[in-house]
Amino acid sequence: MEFNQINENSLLILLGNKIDLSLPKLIGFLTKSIKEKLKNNLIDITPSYTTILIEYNPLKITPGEIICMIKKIANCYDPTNINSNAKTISLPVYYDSEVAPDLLYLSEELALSKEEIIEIHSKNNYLVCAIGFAPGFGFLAEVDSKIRFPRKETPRAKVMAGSVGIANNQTAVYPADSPGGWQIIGNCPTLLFNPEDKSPLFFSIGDQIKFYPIEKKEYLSLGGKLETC
Amino acid sequence: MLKVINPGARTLLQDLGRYHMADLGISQGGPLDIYAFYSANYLLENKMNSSVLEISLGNVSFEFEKDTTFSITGADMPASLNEKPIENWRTHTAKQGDFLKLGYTRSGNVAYLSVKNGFSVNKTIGSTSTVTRNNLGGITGNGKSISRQDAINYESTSNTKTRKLSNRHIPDYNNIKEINLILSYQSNFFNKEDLNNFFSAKYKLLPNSDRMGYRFSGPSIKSKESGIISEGIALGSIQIPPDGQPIILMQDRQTIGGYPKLGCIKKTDLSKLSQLRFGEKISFIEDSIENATKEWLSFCSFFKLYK
Repeated sequence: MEFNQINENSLLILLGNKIDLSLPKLIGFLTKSIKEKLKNNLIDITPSYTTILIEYNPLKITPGEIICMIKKIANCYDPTNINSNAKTISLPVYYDSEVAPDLLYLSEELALSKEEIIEIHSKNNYLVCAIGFAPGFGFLAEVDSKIRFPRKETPRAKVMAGSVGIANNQTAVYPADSPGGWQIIGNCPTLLFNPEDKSPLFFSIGDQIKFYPIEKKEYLSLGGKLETC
Repeated sequence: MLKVINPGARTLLQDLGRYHMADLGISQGGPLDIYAFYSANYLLENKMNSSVLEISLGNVSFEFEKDTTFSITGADMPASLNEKPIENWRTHTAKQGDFLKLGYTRSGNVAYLSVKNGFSVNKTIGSTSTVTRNNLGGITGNGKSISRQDAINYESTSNTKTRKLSNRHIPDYNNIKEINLILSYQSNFFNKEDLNNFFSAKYKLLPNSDRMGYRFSGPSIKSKESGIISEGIALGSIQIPPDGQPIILMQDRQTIGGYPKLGCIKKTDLSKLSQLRFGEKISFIEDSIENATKEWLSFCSFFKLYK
């Protein structure tokens, strides 16, 4: 663990120098603990794949005090403790060209049937490694090597909310309509990010996400929409 | 209500911004020029987090539908109340039916209009700040900028005492030449020669700059790595993409990003930076983290920030 002072009131904690699927759980644990311990002396916290950026109230706490506190928290971390705060969340996905403009293209390019892609994509548990790009956009890893595919060379101007995409070894759900370059293979009708809600997003770094395929009827009954862009 | 007759090029509702939300991917937002923002609220003895209007480049007009006291700070936009010129950086009283006009800016980029007790607008996720790219905040809650015929709510007040800032506290945006920065983040990705060139050259603000990033053109500076694992981006980070042209990440910046960063603009220089207009040139100077922190602490104490 390394600590870098970034500006007048920000510290960057470095926990590794390559993407490592054992890190998100530790980072999720540290993020929650730092929030609880620093309380109002914390202004913002930005966890990512291998780092945590902490913005603090410089009138109330020094970087030295924060470093000391984080070292203590890290010592309490037990990766084998399944009661640590990580959750597993199941999300329904309607995998069909009706809502997934790249499903047939990927099927041709990967020489796999639509059913095989669905089976492979919905088989794994994915780890939330980072949240960013847009509110509620979680970067999930790791996609099975059989269905990995790079981003589009030219991003689409508009990807529909709920779109489930693949970009190399990562998958994600677009929480809102937005531009985007990921290969879209399905749509998740669950509202992931709701600014009206007290807790606007129900997953955080270190949580696991599992997708399960649903039929059109269920997709529509869960509020899914049929436009593709 | 404050009735919007002409919103100009872009007028946005802003309070201090949205905090404790970066782990959800939500941008902070907030005023580009915090000195002018705080001053507008300070003059009115408002809470420092009160909602104000951030006006870009000027040419705006409003009608007051209730009595109030107001202040205008920031860019030098010639103001008039019922066609009579008034001074900025001080309080004025407005009566129901009064007409406020701000002309095109003579120096600086953004001005702030605040009313006594701030504008009364519902918060979205803890803030009224308008972040267009997140579809959050503003008077409709969904990130829309202020448009013609909008009406923005405020409390009616009367008999507020007149306050003004002394001249020495009013910034001059005509000759912004130097911006201080702190080397941090991936500053070791850049070689000495490139860094020397960077500090001795002038960089011009490009017209595709916005509240997310201020883009500059000048001698390119090459990072030994083209990318890093995406990490949290602090306000004022100087990002160097593969073309070597610096982008300074401002209030509406994305929460995480994967380009190498040279460091951060000194917080007390961000206001000055934000007041640059397209085409203006600056040079960058290195300051120490110790000095920058000392100045930031006295700024925070003066405006009673983080209280």
